[in-house]
Amino acid sequence: MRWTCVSMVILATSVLMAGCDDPADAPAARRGTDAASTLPAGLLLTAAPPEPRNIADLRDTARPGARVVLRGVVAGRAEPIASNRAMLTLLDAAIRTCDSVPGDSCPTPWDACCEPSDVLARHSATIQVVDESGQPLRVSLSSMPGIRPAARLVVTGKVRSGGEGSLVVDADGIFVER
Amino acid sequence: MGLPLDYAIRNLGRSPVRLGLSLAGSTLVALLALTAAGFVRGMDRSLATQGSPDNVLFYGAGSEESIERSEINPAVPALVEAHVPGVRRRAEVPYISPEVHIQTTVRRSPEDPQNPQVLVRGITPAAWLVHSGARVTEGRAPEAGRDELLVGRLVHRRLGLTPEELGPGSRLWFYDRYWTVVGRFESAGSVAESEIWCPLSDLQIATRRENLSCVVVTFDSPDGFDNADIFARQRLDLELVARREQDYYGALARFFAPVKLLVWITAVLIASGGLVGGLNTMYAAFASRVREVGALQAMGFGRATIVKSLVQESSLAAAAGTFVAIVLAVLFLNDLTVQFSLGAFGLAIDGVAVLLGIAAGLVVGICGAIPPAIRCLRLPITEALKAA
Repeated sequence: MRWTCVSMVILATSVLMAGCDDPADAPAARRGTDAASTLPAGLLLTAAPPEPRNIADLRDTARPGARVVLRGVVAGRAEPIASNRAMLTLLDAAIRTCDSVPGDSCPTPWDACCEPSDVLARHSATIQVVDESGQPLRVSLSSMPGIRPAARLVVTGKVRSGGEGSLVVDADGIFVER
Repeated sequence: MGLPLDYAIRNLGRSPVRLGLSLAGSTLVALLALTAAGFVRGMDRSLATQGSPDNVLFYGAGSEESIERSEINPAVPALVEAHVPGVRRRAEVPYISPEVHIQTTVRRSPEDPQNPQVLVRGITPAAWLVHSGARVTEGRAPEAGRDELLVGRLVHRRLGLTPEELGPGSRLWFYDRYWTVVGRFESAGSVAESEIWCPLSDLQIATRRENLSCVVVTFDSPDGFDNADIFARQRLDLELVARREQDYYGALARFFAPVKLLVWITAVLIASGGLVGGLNTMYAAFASRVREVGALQAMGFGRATIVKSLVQESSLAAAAGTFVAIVLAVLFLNDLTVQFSLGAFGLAIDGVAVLLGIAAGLVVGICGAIPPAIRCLRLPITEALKAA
């Protein structure tokens, strides 16, 4: 009888322990697929790459796989930097943003809402930092020093898609102009 | 030694006029609290239930504030289906709802002098997949090519009609044609209940537009938003923004925060008037009982005991008034339609609102009794016994 009771207590304890997740383990299990990534060490350049080009010029000529150097402003939409992916929208510096319009009090001048949307689309490029599978890393580029809306950048990288549609560049170097 | 509760209860009946005034005051204060809480809760509910955690909206970049201003490529639904992983499916049908949202003047006939603005939403059958809370409660869904429509449960209020006047078979006039009402729908108390839904193709023909306002997509999990955001950021040529539906309606709710604050301030100000009125009644009630209070003190009852009994008396009257207010609110205010710029919503006299009403009643009962009781007890016993 005593052994039966002891066995039942041990069994009940085991069941209870098996049923309880360690709260600290749960996020760790999820991190297997959703882990926040880190940006490559050499991504932030200390010197400006030579001969940067405008986005609109590259857009018509760039073919997937081609190496490019492009210059622009982090702008073109209200939230140009993705909050949890290594992606940003770069806009040709020639396109005026709302802060250059006298008397404009737009709280997000970098969205260039004063320009027609088709002009913005033609002069914009998506800059992303990808992993081995080609997916944007799970980290925001805003974690890099100097990268914020309206910052001027020179980006080196490889064209992922271009031509008729939108210009997407897998960046391997970013220089922040002061 | 404490005074029996019976003493406080019997005292209530000594002056029916004063009891009536106390009841009316506490009823008014509790009713105001209930109305304000019902307004805020109803508005919150109407905007909160509109957004599903798994739904993502694709709409035009630059139209972040209002989907009605958005215009996107009609190819977006097909592109989303082809390029964005994680879209929920049922029997191979993707949960992708292309929609047109237009705020327009809706009349009963071209001669109708009224100009009510109603949001008309052009939908496909996929809308019933992504808006899981929406269901037809009367009649049937509209068929494309026949200028038919469904009216939300609260649309009749926008149009100044009775529900019967806007039943299946009735007609509405907008975009230079008559539309036949074939049914009514509800949407779990959301603002969609003050909308008109009709077939997307019919609305596009009537408005001579080919583009869409937005595409609503349901993903298998809330993480699907990442895939939607990557797609929108990579396809800059489509000029799209992806946003969680809950975030969109959350932003709208924040826009109305000053309105809600104004409602609370107004309620508190009017309720303060009610509270002051209650205090006045209690001052008068207790002032005429100074000798009685002095006698109680002479008999050996402590001041705290007497204050407790007076608070009991006041709280009992306030509780009765609060009960009346709750009954009135549940019977006459609950689900009462209020119109606002986005549509309409019903006042929600729910548990939280009732709790706030009770709290307001208690404040009247307690705060209304303590200052007059203290004033009453300030006199020395000898002077109190000689008071007129």
